Amino acid sequence: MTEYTDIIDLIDKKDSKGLEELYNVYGSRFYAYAINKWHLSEDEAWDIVYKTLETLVLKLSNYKFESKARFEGFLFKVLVNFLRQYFRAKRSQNEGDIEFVDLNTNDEIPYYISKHIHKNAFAEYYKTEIVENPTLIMLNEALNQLEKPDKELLLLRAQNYSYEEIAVLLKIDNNQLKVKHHRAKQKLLNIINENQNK
Amino acid sequence: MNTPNKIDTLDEALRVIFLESAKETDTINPEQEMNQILSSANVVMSDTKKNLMLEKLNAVSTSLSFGQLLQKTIVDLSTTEVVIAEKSSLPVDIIENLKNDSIYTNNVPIKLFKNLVSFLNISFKSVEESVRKTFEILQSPAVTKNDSFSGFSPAFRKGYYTSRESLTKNTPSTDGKELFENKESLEKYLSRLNELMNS
Repeated sequence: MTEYTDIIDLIDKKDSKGLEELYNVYGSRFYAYAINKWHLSEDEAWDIVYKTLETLVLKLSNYKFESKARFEGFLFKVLVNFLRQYFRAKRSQNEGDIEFVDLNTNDEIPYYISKHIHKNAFAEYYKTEIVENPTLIMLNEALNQLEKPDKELLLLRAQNYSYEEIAVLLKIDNNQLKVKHHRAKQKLLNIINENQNK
Repeated sequence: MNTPNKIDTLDEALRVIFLESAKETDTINPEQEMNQILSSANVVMSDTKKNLMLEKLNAVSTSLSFGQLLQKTIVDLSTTEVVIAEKSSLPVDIIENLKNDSIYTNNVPIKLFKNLVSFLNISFKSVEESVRKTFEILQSPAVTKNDSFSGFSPAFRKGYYTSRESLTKNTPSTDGKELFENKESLEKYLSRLNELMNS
């Protein structure tokens, strides 16, 4: 794989190979991520990837990336910025067709999250990018009280990673991961309930 | 996981939390996130779309911003910022800001800007292209509040933690934008500049 410093050097020298490598190493994966994990259309994913790479090209002279982690951190933030915009726009367009439900609850999880998070909280977020809903803030706080593996599992699953992919990414056994996910949700909802009763 | 019309409430809330936490440099672990994203690779963009993207990126990459054009012209003419400031009646610090692409060119009084490009003998076409690129640079989203990107400084790294603040900020995306920081204003400025340069 081409080093990030080589990519930066080539782009600095206006060599088109730098852009090709930037696309091959990062752009192609961003494209797959936007389509697979966020269910965006090919055109939407194209726009997001283009805007992300364009921002890097435009901003390259303003930043000094001291490590690969900083370079990739920059790209990650720009990518998620655009992803957020498209996600919100898409949800806003389809808002009338969306029904928010508790898909994964059963008797083991007595605290139904939809009782706490009203769809208006999402509607507000899609339209204004403002998160002031107390339940979303409360959920965020409860998430931070979870053990790291449980938190990671919940966030990855919410991004539509399969259990197999999660096992590879988190370097854990795939066995019983579905059950672990279910239990992580239960723990989260229990924390919310406890926090509410304090 | 979700059917098109039925969305799990908790998963949706977690997605919102993920998207919002990524705004803060110290609330997520971009290295880990990037590893996860780079593991996605089973959708291939068509060659036509890929080539279109590379062509457009190449056009962006090879064009000069006004700052770059100014730097190049200063070298070509063997002149200095002080001389340019004197000839254009612009303060030296404005020339420096223009050189660094740190201010919108259409924020510079147009007659003084015209003096500047006339003294440097730059054609309107070159000015127009470079001014547009500077505009794009300044319009592209800022990643951090500061120009230095220090989110990975180990001393301040908080790991996989989302701050309450990251979910309670209520700042409009237009916050701090001035009147001239929009396309319409840029077009009017360029149109007037064209008139002045050709009069």
